[in-house]
Amino acid sequence: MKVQLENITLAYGEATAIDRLSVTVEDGESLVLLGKSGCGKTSTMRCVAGLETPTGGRITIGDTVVFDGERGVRVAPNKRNVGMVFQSYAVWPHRTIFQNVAFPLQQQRLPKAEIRERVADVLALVGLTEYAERGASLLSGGQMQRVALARSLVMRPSVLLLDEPLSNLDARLRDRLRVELREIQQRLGLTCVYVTHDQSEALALADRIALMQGGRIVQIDRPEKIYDAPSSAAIADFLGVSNIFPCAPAGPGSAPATYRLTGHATEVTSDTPAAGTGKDPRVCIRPEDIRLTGEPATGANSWPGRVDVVSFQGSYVRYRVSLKDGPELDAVVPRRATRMLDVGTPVWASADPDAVQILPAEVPA
Amino acid sequence: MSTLLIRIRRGLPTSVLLLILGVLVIVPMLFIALAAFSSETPRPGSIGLSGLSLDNFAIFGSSQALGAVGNSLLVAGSASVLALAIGCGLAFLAARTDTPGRRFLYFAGIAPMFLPSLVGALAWSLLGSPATGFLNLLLHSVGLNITVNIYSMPGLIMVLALYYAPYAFLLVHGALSLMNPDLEEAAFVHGGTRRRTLRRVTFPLALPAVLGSGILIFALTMENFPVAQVIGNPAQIDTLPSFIYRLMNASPSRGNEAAAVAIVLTGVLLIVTAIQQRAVLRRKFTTVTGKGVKPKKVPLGRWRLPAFAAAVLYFVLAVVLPLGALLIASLQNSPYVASLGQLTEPGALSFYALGELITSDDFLQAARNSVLTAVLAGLIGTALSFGLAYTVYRTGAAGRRVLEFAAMAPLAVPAIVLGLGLLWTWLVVPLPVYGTVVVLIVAFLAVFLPQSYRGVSASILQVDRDLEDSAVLLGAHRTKAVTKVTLPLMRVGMVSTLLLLLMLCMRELSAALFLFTSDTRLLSILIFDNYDNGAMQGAASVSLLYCGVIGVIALLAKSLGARTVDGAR
Amino acid sequence: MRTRLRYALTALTVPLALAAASCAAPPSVAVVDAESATVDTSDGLVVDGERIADAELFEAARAEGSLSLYSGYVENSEKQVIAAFERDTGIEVNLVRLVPNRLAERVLSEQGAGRLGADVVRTSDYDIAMRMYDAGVFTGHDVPGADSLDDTVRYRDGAFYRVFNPLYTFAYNTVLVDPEDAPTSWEGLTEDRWRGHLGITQVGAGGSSLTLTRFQEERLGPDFLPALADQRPRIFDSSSAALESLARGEVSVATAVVSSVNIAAAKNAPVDFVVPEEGMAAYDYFVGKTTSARHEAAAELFLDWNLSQRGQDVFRQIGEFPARSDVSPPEILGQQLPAADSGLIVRIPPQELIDAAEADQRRWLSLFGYL
Repeated sequence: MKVQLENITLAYGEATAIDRLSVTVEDGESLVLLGKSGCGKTSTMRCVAGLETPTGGRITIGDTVVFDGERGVRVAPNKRNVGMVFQSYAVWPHRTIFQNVAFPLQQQRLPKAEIRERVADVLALVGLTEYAERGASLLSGGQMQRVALARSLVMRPSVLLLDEPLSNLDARLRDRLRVELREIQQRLGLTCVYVTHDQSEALALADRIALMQGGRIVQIDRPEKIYDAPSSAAIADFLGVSNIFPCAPAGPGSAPATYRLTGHATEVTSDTPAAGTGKDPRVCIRPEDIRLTGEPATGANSWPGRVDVVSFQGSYVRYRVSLKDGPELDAVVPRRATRMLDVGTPVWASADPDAVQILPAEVPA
Repeated sequence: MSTLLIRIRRGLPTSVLLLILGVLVIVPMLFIALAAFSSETPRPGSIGLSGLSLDNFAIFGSSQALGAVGNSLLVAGSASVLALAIGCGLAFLAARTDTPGRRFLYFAGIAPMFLPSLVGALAWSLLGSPATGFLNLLLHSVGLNITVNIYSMPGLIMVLALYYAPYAFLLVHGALSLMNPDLEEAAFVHGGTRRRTLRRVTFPLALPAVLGSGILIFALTMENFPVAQVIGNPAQIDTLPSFIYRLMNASPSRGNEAAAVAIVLTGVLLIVTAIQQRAVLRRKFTTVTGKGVKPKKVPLGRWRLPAFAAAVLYFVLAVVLPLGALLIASLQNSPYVASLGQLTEPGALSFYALGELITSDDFLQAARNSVLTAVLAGLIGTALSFGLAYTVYRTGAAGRRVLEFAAMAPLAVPAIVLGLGLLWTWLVVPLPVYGTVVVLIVAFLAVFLPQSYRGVSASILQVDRDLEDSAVLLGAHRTKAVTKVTLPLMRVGMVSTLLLLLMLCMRELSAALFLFTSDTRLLSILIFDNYDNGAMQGAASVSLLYCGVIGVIALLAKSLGARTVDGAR
Repeated sequence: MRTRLRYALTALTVPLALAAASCAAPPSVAVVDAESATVDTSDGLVVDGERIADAELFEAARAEGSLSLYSGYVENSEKQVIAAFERDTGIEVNLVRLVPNRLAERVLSEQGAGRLGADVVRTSDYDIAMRMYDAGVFTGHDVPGADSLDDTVRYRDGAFYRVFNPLYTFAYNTVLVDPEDAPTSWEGLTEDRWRGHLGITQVGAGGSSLTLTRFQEERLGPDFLPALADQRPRIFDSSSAALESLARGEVSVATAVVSSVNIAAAKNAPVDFVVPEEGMAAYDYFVGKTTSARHEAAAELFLDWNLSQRGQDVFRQIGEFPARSDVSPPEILGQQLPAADSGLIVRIPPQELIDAAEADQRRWLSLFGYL
């Protein structure tokens, strides 16, 4: 169901956790709240669940207003039909898996037969059929995650909230469950809100990503749009752009625009529209957009330097190159693209002007 | 309008709890303060702020009062040092050395806990009274011309140290056996000798536990009444608690001056408690929590047996001799014993008195009262602590810090002083509570609130808040989520708290001292009353049975505790 | 040496195992012989021929069935009194017993709050009784023959009565001190041979101690207490603690109350008291019916019984000196106590006691270096 937040504010005394936040999650949509810890993303989610009471604003789930600060509406969390998978999973260790999953249905006082049937269905969906009678304290992390998911799914929630659902798992399991989660969400047409600080998780799970900073949404868009066009250097940084340098226009005239890195002689040419750069602009280049070659590349943006650090990462190699009279650059090169470079090798680093973005440091609030 | 309602609903639990805490803790202290600064003790119809003065504190101009202050400090100070020496030594032997019989060492370390200090003091007055103490009879019968006089400053200090050493033992043993061996091994690897490692790494790491327990023992011995009364009084050594008791029992009663002394004692304890709390807080950051690892043992070589003998000596002094003395005293047919040989004569000893006692109305009533108050205080105390801990840690209610502070406040109030305050409170409050078992329950609730609050809040902190929230999101009402999820998960902590409360209430004397009447006597009171009325045999007999009851509760606690440890794994 | 130790240890354990296995009752003597009185309830209450209550009062009291007594009297003794009363009347007595000053505290508080639970209050100390009287605790009641009781028995128009006087003297341990050698006078206690072997009770322990102190000051002269202090006696908090220590042989001679010595001796304690040549101190116990009594008839019956020949005889058997002058003094542990007019039973008039209390207390404390 559609979830609508209007002007939600949450303050603890002087500190403001959420600042007049408005966003709409469409029916069947998966929205990811992405941001650093303390940006207000979890608080926002807990406001939807009813675990936190906002200081003001309005929250609507489907057609029901569940919170309205002005009219004093406050629907209790257990009456909102909101599912939530906690970061800690919150699987009850003193109950079996069946008892965990059957709990919401027992609260609805459904007949036993129906409970059994629906629990069996949902356990099959998450692949835990054989574990039904097992005590919940004996499960692995992945299994707990599935139990928590099944427990929320079985109540057929209006909206499913997931708080860092994958962050407690190891890397391989995370990759697999990410795909499974996406599949289940799409198959059931669930309205989902995720909270995460992991950009790759956000990109994989989201129909739309809402980037949060200081209790506000600073950019909201489809994953690929955000990836390609972050609206500030801070967002770019968060999305894994590790080469970010303060800069200033090199001089009037020439288009595409040329910038000089502050404190260095290095000049950078950008082909992307430098919209809204305003003051305090930053040069942002993704490490995978840096090429390393033996000779100077043709065209703009080719700088001489030396390899400082080599880190083999399996499918790719990560280099740290210090530019002559310039800063250090991060470069990620596919393993097969070139032969491995040794530490100390002189190289030329280059970037296409259309891979270079000039962004403001922060989005004006 | 509706936001106002929400606010009222939010504030309600806190206000109710605050009201309860106010009645339990704050009002009694106000009465003490009122009495200390006025010329009349609080009584219905004679309460007022008129006639406030500092006159009552003039008692501190007397040499007796100053002596009591000095004695209290001296006794508490020396007893804590001695108790620390015993407790830490035993803990080190039991946890970190190859002394034989380590299970026995552990048992010897904690066993004296099951003898309340009142019982210990009574037993030692039987053992070490100068003319006819059993120890002296024994010494003389083997031809030694040594007379032990327990009624002396060293005697008082020794008895206190014997029965408070287990506190040091428990804390320090915990710190030593949970210590991560990596830290010591690191010192070895970096070239430290064993001795230097012990001195530079092990002991400094255990230091917070040592200091923490030292301050705790100082506070406890400072406010200890039974030992001061039973051992100190015959030696004419007054401490602040026995001084308060005497002022109250003087005829006519000198309640206002007692209140003034109580204020001073509370002040001293407040300072000590503040230091202790800081030490405990700091300990949280420094104590090394291990993962159930077994640290290396220090070989003692030829000191193994002497070390073992020292532990046995402590056990004999703290447990075997006192219980033996109590047994003999309760079997004696005549209170007078001129020599040990006299006890061998036919008819000198008999179970008759003990049997009479067990079936006597007095004993049965006291036992019933004891169990009733302990169980009720335990249940209510645990429930109240849960309400407090839940409000403090799980809600956004206003005034949570105040609640927590009020719940911990009795830590700084000596039990005897709180009892005095409760006496005046319930004499004045127009409810028929004074003179009933209810007032004793109220007293125990107040005195042991910090312990139960700490137990329950530690337990609630271990249960992830999400576990309960998820039940609410899954459709359960908040109260249902608490009963279905939070409480079952806290079962172990709640049961341990309940048992701890049972144990503490069973042992307590000082808090009930001014509150009991002849039909609401507890076992501890019955012992003290018997002693006070000169019926030493009755006191000894009840003491024996009393230790039995406490032992049973302790065993119960241990068996439950053991199961919980297994269940957690 | 070692064998002697082992001998001593066996000497300790073997008898414990063998001798203690017996469950025989130790020889002991009942202090009060409650059963010997003949009770006739055909017309009121008549015990041993003495008419204690008429039929009307007795039936009313029987109908009430019980009464509540707040008492500051020694608990065991009070229980013996109650047992005798219950036997004679069939009326149950619910006892709340507290030491007198705590009893006063409780009675005055309950009275102040308008919910005094007692039908009858018994306490020592005239000033405690008067504080209660001033607070309106007592209501007047005339016991049978009230007219013949003088104003040292009947106070404030029968608001409360003096019922008996415990006698404060000194006692000795009969094992440690041969009766031949026992001191026979208070002056004898100041002899050198008792130095370090005496026990006394502190002056603040209650009205009894104050009475004894006044007696000593008045009868034995101002030099007695300093001389006693020179003997370095052990000072006890209460007289019962002193008596216990005497029985255990911690001290050889101690100040003691006759009735307590009587009861201790009945329980096999090797103690006996002395009737000193200079006499002994008698302090007061009072009893009164409360204004708020809910069991009025039972309360009145209890008072009547207390001041009857029968009641007075029970106190006599315990070892107290009866208040009624027409009841003969007790014979305790084979010693006939002197008559009231012998000059050896010294009762200090209450007001005199109260007036001297503060000065006596201060002097005593400074002499003995006590609180």
